[in-house]
Amino acid sequence: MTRRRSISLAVVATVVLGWSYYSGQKPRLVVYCAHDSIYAESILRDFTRQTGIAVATRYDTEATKSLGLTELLVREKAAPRCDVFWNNELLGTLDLQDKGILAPYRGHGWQRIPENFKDADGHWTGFAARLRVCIANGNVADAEPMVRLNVGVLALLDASRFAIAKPLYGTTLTHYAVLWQHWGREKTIAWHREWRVRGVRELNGNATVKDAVAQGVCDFGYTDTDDFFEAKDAGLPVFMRPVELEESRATICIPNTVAIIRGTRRETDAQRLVDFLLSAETELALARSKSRQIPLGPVPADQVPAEVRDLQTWAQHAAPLTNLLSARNECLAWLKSEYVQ
Amino acid sequence: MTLAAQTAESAARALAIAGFAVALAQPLARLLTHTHGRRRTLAWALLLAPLLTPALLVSYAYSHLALRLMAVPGGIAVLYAVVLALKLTPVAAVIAHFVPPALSAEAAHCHALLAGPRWRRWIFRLRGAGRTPVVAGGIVFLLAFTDFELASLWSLKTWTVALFDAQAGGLALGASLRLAALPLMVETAALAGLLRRSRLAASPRGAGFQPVEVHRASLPGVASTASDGHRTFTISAESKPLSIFARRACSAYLVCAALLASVVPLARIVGQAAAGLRSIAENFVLTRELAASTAFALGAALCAWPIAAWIARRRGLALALCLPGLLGAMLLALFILTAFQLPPLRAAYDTPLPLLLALTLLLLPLAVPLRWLLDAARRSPALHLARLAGARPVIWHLDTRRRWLAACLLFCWGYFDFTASSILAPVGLTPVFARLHNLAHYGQTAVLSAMLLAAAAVPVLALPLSGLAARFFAGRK
Repeated sequence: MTRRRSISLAVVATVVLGWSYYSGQKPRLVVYCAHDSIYAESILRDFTRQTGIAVATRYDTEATKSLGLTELLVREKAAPRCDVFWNNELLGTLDLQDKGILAPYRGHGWQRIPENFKDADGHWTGFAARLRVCIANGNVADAEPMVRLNVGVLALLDASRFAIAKPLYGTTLTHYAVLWQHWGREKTIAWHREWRVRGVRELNGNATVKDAVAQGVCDFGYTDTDDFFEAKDAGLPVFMRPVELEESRATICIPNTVAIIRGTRRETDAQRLVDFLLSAETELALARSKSRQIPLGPVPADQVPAEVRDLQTWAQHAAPLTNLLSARNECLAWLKSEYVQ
Repeated sequence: MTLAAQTAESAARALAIAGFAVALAQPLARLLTHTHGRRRTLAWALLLAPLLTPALLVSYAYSHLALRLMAVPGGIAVLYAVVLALKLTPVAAVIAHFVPPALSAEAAHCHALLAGPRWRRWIFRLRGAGRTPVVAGGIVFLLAFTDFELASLWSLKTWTVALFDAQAGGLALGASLRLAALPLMVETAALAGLLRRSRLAASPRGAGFQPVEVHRASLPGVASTASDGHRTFTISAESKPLSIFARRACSAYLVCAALLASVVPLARIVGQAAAGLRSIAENFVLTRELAASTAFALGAALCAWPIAAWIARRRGLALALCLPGLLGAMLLALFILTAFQLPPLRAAYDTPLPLLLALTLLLLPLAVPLRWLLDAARRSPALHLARLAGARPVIWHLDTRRRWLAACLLFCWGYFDFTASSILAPVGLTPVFARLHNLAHYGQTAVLSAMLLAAAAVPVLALPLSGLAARFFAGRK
């Protein structure tokens, strides 16, 4: 046999062996996860350890958080690959529900979550939330009273010292949708355009916003509580205040959501994962993690870290998000026309 | 900024980088040619270090600097252009080294004696440089124009980032590709220009397909005769050695480039990783990703190599199969994603096949020229004699070692890919650099630095082992 034939045979054998190994693997529960992989991974590993159900996870990137996976689920609607969607926000999940992609399930996990954080039919359920916050660099004079200012007033400051993530995705999109609902289309568009003209720093994601503020590149920024605590844990000079809407003083509390994809072939396993994620143990684990997620269901108060208990107080004054789908879709359509030309 | 403006800005930047790379390519190639022994090995290592250092490693190491530069108008754009230029100049230098100008040093000297004004000499030299600058510049332009990895981590507004955002942000695939029409036109124009000029290896009859201007000094043992299809000629002219000043300047450039684009980022990551190594040793979570990366890179290299061997002598086919790879990983991955979402191919969607196909196509523009060079080297009489004599060490030195190095290069190119992997990787088989790129957005941590180091260490550790195996089998038929 010539060398060339040997090589060709080796290539074919490698491909065939690789393929047969891949296709012969035990089918896994496929989870699309928009939550930060560094926190989600240990939770999903615990699930596998406890139940023996193997999980294959597709994570999203920080920069395109959640929306990438939401869009993928829409595209895969005809032939779904995903069994369970763990989103790190609500509005994308509402959109999927609207498009008929989610299957209802009301298990014992669903029952322990308050009404305003779940779908009545069980198409989705919220858990472990974050707050939208204004983060400030501690070395900036008068920063503390300034973070208490509302969105409209803050925009009047030096915009080039203010950072925000691109509003096309993730929790920044939720933030915009809340403003869209609260202010209306015209005011939101005018505010956004003026802010950009005046040089606001638009960055990749909330983590980059946190970095920019923590390192003094910017004085203020909009981010989430989990990013703020990362900077605080690293000993960086930052402090924060939850974003509050004018007049109502309502905060923006964004839960993780979990849903089963319609057409899943592993319904029982999917339901077990949903119940696992909605359990008090998982909420406590996420509260105790570095991301300090706020438990939404009842958990023993003495087991919740003090910092998270403070956040729970703020979360009680959260603006409702479940009615924001149309605002989100209108806002997103406009943002796409603004950014993708 | 609109996508058209971003495309124009990217094209202008790529053009400037290509100009810079072409200007430096000839002196660097001459430096390599006229350096010998260990210094030559060192010069090659310094030249290739920026190119072979993963873009993610560089962008991650400089992410804090990039963040600070945001406060300086144009600061981050300058950093980006400089790092990209340092990474891509070796490509032009390598092309210039292996495909030296048609004009010999003697001819240039004779013309200098006869020619009048200085500008005439320059024009003569420019024309005498042949197609090499255009080919080198064209390839560097395409690589710079299609960059995504450096730009995305530094929050730069390039067309590749905008397209990725649009795609992930919910724009339908067809609409995303329509959006890509303008960059695609720029790339097609560059490719068309490149193809017109890159007939260096083409026979007019279409049957022969051999390198015509392989540098004798760059490939020891290569026969100095070559054919352009019409005639056979001998490359007799060596390139002129550099002046001492130029030699020192080139050496200084090589050291600075390697420091900035390779040593400093690596040192920074190693320094940070020390604190995180224990954590990842206790809880190593990247095994699956490392295995996926290795399997995909190995599979793509194994597919690209025989395909390159098969098409290397078929000009039309070679060009047709190299073109998709030259379009850049972003557009190629989007096209393949579209194809595998169509009903006939849907069964293979979310399998390893789309990514394997993308990586193979991305490797072909590298594999085909490597094949040309190696085929030329294998016609060496010395190698023929070594085979007849069964002299394994000589066969290793003249043949197997080069093929092993070519295979390593292909493997690394596939292993370090991020863009195609992040778009096409199937569930549960995410390659390590796609995963680390995601984590790198959270900022620098000791654990992440240790993970990056572990990911970069795999080829560094695995390839010498494969080299030992290759050496063991050298000379066997």
